[in-house]
Amino acid sequence: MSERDTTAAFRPSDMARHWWNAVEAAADGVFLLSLDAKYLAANAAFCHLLSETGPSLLGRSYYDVLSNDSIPLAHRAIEMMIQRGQPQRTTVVFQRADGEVRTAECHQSFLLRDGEPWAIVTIARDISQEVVLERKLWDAAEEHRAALDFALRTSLGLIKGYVYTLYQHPRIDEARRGRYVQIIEEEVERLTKFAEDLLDYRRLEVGDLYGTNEVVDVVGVVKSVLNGFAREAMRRQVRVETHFGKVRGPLFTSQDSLRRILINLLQNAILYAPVGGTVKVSLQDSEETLVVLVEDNGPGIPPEEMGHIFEKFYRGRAAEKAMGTGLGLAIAGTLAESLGGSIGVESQPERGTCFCLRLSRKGCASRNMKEEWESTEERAVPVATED
Amino acid sequence: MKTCVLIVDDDERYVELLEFNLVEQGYRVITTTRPAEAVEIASREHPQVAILDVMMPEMDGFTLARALLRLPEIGKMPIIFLTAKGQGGDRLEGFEAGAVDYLTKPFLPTDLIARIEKVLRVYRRSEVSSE
Repeated sequence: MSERDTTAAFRPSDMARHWWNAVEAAADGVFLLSLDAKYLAANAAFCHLLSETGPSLLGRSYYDVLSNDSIPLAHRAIEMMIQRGQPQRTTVVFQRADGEVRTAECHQSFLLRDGEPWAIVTIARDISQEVVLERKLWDAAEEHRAALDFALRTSLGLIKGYVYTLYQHPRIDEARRGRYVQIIEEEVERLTKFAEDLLDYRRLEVGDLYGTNEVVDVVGVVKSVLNGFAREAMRRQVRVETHFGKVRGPLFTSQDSLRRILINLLQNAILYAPVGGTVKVSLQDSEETLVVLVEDNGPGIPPEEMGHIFEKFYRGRAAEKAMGTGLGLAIAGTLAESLGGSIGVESQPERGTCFCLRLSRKGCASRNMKEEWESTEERAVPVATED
Repeated sequence: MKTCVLIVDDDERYVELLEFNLVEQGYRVITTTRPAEAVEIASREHPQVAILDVMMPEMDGFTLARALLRLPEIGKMPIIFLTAKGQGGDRLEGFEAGAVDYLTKPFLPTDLIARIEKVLRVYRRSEVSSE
């Protein structure tokens, strides 16, 4: 069927030419039905929506081109209009001859002649794309809910089972006891992170997580966050190296947000580094920008996932095993933006991933404070040996 | 002779949890974290009951159940599914795949032991009545 055919319209003989010309040019589909719901006329947009020509519709029933599910709805809308004499709005799905479907929001009302209804005019707005998008969002939310449910049940099951086991078997050998306690501890930590991510996400949604700007010792914050991960890194046998270099001075930023970003980036890095692997945290400072690099030598991020990792609820293939919330990087990215910065990422499959947090030095603390505060530290120590 | 229980779960922490509690309860336990190996293990060891996780990367529990129940030496071995998914549709698929019971995480090891004892009682009773 050619484009010309699909947009061709047919016109009732008694319709004023100028009125129909306006209808023809309308972006929305417009069609006329007789009172027994037979097509009398349709404009080009509606013919295009149905991939039909005007003449092919003429005389056919309105219900012939609707999906089975929509027929009762459409029927009821017309019945209500006839009973109440009021315009009706309904959403129906048109079934095209080529098998495709189109969802349209239809506004229907009577056309009057000598005060009496003689036809039904319908304005049909194609909302198929919105429906597809809504369905995708719904599916994504549903998928996320299922993943969250799975992860929570798995963690709770382990905690419940091992707590029971330790309680029921007080004479269990030391090695086994230690292992079981460690599993409980890991799962409690995982659930804590879950709760924090979800709460942070809610706070972010209402713009309540940004904190206030202050003079921040970035090296001090990085060290403090690293110390918080010492046990986890040791447990996973991951070596954490730091390369701070020369830092020009403090930064005027939100310490809470910076801390949260670093926690999320480090948590990711330690999680994805292999057993015996390495996580490197380094600072690069310049007059304009302070950069924090967090690198791991894990499996890397597949190229097809790179564009999605900062999307909320996105969980890559590797994350399925790690059972995260899919919110950590989304939160970190949003917080970085709130600080006027950004997070970039580079990754090579099987070689590792590097996240790069860039923070602007604009609005930095006073010269005096900068002079007082200098760090020339450069070291590479396993985090396990830190306090 | 001890009743032999086959446990298949890709999460070794669950395998250890269940194995420890079942051994303490007097069962002989055979385990694997690789569902692809489970059929061979089952055909060799002839377990009397199988505990299968549903979501496993190599092969899901339902597929594994069908494969196990096709083994002539296994026959009508009762299968209990363990899952972290609480959806009704999964349960139905589990029963269609040959499950006799279904346990949703989180659960206590005693819950599982009670289910095992129950399905074994029913199974043995039906074996006696069919003889």
